[in-house]
Amino acid sequence: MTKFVLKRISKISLVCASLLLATSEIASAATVGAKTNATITIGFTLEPVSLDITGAAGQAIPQVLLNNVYEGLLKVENSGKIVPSIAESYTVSTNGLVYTFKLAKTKFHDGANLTSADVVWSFNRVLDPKSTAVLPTQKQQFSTIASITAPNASTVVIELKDRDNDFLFNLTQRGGVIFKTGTTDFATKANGTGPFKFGNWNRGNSITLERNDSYRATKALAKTVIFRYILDATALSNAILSGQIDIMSTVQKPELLSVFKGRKDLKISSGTTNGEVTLGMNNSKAPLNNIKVRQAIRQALNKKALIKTAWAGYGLEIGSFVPPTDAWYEDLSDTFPYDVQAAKNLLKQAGYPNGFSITLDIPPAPYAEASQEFIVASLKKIGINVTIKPVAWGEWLDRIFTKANYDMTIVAHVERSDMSIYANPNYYFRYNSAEYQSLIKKAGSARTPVGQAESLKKAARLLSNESVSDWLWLIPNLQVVKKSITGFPQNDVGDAYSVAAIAKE
Amino acid sequence: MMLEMHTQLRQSRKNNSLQNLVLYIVRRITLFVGSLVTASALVFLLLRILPGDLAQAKLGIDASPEALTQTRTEFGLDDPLILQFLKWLGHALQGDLGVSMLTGANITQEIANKATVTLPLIGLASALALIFAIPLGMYSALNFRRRRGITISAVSQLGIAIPTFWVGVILVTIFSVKFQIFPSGGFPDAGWSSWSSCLESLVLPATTLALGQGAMLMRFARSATIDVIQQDYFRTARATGLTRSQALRIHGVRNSLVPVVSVLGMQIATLIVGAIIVEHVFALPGIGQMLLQDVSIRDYTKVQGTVATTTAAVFLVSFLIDAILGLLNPKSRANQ
Repeated sequence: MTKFVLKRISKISLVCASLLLATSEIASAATVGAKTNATITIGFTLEPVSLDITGAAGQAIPQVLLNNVYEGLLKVENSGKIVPSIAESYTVSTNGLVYTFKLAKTKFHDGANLTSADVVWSFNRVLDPKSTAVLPTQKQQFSTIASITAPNASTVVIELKDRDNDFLFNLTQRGGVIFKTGTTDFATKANGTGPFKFGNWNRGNSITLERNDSYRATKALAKTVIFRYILDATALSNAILSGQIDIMSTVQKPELLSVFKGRKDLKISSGTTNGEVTLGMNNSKAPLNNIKVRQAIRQALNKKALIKTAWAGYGLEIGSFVPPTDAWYEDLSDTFPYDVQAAKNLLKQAGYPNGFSITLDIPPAPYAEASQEFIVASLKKIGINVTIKPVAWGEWLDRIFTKANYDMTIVAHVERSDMSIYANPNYYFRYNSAEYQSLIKKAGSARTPVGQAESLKKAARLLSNESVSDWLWLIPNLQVVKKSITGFPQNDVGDAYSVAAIAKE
Repeated sequence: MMLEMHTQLRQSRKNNSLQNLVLYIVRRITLFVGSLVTASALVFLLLRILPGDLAQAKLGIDASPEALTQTRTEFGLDDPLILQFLKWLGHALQGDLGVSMLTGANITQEIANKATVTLPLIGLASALALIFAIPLGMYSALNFRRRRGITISAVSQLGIAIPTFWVGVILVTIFSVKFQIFPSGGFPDAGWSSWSSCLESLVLPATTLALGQGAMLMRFARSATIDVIQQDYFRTARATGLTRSQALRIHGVRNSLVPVVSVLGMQIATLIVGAIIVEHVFALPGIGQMLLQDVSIRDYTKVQGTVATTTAAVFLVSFLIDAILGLLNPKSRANQ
C-alpha cells in the first residue's frame, strides 16, 4: 500500500514541476510551403541522465528518443489516436487475448534489417524477471504478456494472460521500444529505427538528432533537431526572446507568459494534458455525503472566471474526469453550470438553508494555491464558510490521501486513463457506487476499444451527474513557439516529443 | 674582525631566512592537505546524511526491495562508511573520482570537460575586475576627500550590494533580448574550436561576475592606497617634490597591491559560488550548472567529486597566493 501511495503521490506532486510535455507529432501538419532541411532548436528544462530508455528513470529520455530515434510496434498520435509504427497492421483474436502484428519493412540506423526476432528479443529483455536493467514500471506494464512468438520474419504474436485495455497504449511508450538483438550499450548509444538518427550529446547543453534519410515512411522535414537543455526558467524564456531557440517546450506557470505577449514573432500554444485539477470532496462525510450539496458547490463555482483568475485564462473546462485526447471524452462542462440561485436552492433542498462551515486543505501546488481565494469567495455567496488550511505533501498523503480525514482538497491527477480511482471506495474521494464500479469493470473487460469507450463514457457521465468531485480545469500544455514553426506536438499525450513533422517556414 | 662578524651575521640571517621559508612552505602544505582531507570527509558525510537513497535515485520509485539491495551491493553502498570514504579518497588522490552512479559517466573527465567553460569564465571575470578595479581604486584614493572620489566609492558600494543574478538578468534584457548583440545564454556545441563565438557567449556572464568582484577589489585597492598615502615614506617622497600621483606611481603602487592580491586569492571561493549562479542564469554548461543539475537528480557520487574538486581548487589557489606573498614579503613568513 505504501508503495502504491508513494508512486501515486509522486506522480501527483510532479504535476506542477512537470507539465512535461511528452507528446507526439501532429498527423496532418500544415507543412505546405514549409522549408525542409532546416535546423530546429527546442528548449527543454530537464536533461536525460542517460540514453537508456528502458533502464533509466526520468521523462527526458523518452521525450528526446521515443518516436524520433526509437520506435515501438505502434505509436500514439498527438490527437491521442494509436496508429501503426513498426507494425504496419495488427489483428486481435475474438477473445481479446491474442494480438498478431505484421511488421513493416524496417531498417535499423546501422543498416541492419529489423525482423520479428528483434521484437521477441526486446520484449523478452523487458520481461526477464531476473534482469534489473529494465525499470520496474516497464516490466509491470507488460506483466500481462503470457508469451511472445515469431511464426515468421515479419510476424509477431503476443498472447496475454488477461484482457488489458492499456496494452496497445503501453506498446507506444518507452517500454515497448524495439532494439536490435544483442544490443549491450543502451546508456551512450541509440541504434533505433526512427525518422532521426542519434547525432551527438554535449552533456549539460544539448542533444542533436540528424534526419534518417533512409526512413521507411514519410521522412522528417527538418534536417537537424537540437534539444537544448536550460534548467533555469528565466534563462529558457530569454533563449526564445533572444531568438536562440525556436520552441520553448515548457511554460511551468502561466504568469511567465506575460513577457511574450506583444511579441509579433512568437505565438503561445495551449494544448491539452492528462492533468485534471480536481476539487476533491469527501463523499463519506456530512455535509458532502449529500449529493445536492456537492451539486450546489459545482453550480456555485464559475469555472471560466476561475481559469482566468488562477491560470491566466489557459486551461479547459472539462466537467468530468476525462481529457479530450481520450476516446471516451465528451464535453460535460455544462452539467451543473454556474448559477448562484440554483446552487442556493439545492442547498435549501438538502436541508442547509443557512449554509455550513467546512475546511479546504491546500497542498503546496501552484494550481491549488492560485484557486483557493476564488473558491472561498464563491462559496461564501451561497452561505458556505470555507476555512483554508495549507498542508505539506507529507501531511496531505497521510491525513487526506490515506486516511480521508478531510472535507475538500485540490489536487491535479495527471495519470493517463485513471478513471478507475473513482471505482476504489477506499480512495480518498470515498465514493462507493456499485453502478460506477460495474461500469469500470465492464470497460476493463471490453473486447474492443469501442466497447471500452462506451462504458467509460457512461461512467464519466455518472461521475458528473453525481458531482463526486468538481473538476476545475484541465492543465494546459503551454509552449511558446516562433510563428515560422509548424508541425510541433501541441498536446501532452504520452512519453514522446515527436519532432518529425516540425518545419520552419 | 669586524668584517668577519658581519659576514657571520649575514650568513646566519640567510640560514635563518632559508629555514623560515622551508618551514613556512612545509606548514602551508600540511595545512593544505589536512584541510583538503577534512573538507572531503565533511562533504562525503553530509551527502550521506541527506535524505535520499542512491539506489532509489537510480532505479526510480517503483523499484523492488531486491533490486535496491542488488544495486547497493554493486556500488559498495553496504560497506561501512569509513571504508567507503577511504576507498573513494584513495582513488581521488590518484585523480580518479570514479563514475557517476546514475549516468555511468567518468566524473574526472566530465569535470575537466566542464572546466573548459568555467575556468575561462572565472579567468575573464577576474581579469575584467582587476583591469577596472585597480586604477579606479587608486584614483578614488587619490581623490578620497573630493566629490569624484566619493562618487566612485559610492558606486562601488552599489556594485557590492546588487545581487549577481539581478545584474545578469538586466544585462540579458538589454543586450540579448532588446538589441540581440550577445547571446542570452548557452555555449557553442563545438567548444573552443569556434573560439570567437565562445568569447561572445562569455562576455555577458563574465561582466556580470566581474561587477561584484571588481567593486569589492576596488574598495580594497582604495583603502590600501589611502593607507600608503598616509605613510611617512610617502610624505617624504612628496617632500622631494613629487606630485601625489607621481609619488604613488614610484613608491606606492607595489605596496598597495599586496593586500589586493591577497584579497583576490581569498575571493576565488566567492568567484566559484558566483560562477554557479551566473552559469545558471546564462545556461552555461560549466561546473556550476552541472553541480546544480546533479543535485537535482541526486547524483551524489558526482556531486561529491565536483565539490571535492572545487574545494581543492580554492585551497590550491589560496595556498599559491600565500606562497607567493610569503616569497614577496619576508615579514609575513617570519610572523607565522
